[in-house]
Amino acid sequence: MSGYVRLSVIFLFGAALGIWTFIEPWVIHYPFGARHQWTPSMWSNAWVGAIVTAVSLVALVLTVAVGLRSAVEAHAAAQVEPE
Amino acid sequence: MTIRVILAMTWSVVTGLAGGWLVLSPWAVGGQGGEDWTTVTTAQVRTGVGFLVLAVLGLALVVGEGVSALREAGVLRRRAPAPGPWESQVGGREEQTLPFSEDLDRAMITLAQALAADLNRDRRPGSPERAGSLDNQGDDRP
Repeated sequence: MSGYVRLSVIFLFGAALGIWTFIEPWVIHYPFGARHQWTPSMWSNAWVGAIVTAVSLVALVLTVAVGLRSAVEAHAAAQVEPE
Repeated sequence: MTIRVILAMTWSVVTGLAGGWLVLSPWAVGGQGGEDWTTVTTAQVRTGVGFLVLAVLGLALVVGEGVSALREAGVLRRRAPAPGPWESQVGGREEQTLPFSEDLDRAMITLAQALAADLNRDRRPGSPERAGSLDNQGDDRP
């Protein structure tokens, strides 16, 4: 069970860092291109942030779901055993 | 266990690649021209290093889980902790010599059985070895 918690924390940090990467160009005021277009750095940050956030959130949801299911199964097994 | 390992490894690979790309991207996309780092370069390198650290942490978690799973399966043995200065020397020595004493016991039993068999063979009256040894004794006498 503790393995699931540790992984969830790591994935949570990953999602947070991904979101930060996505919004970083506007927070740090990356310079815009001509006619207020996005520069390659902004595109790079946006893509990397989006991908890492999506992967981290999917991994987080899966980890929490599997961890909860295994906890419920362990609880049910512990209740059946004494009888 | 398997789902956790696959998830963590995939996530670590994706995050590590993202971090590596973020560190290199100021030079790859031509955002960093001169020698002094711009604000954008500094921010991207810092974020990339953060991703790399997270990826290494994820990989370490996976390796730790794998090692513990192997230990539970009995493939790997847990290393015995080194005896501290507060522990008695005798206790530590007993723990360390336990397998050796078992081997020694086994060797002693085998040796005793071999000696007993040898003695039984020598005690037989018509044993050629015994006769030979007596003859030799007679030859040695002056």
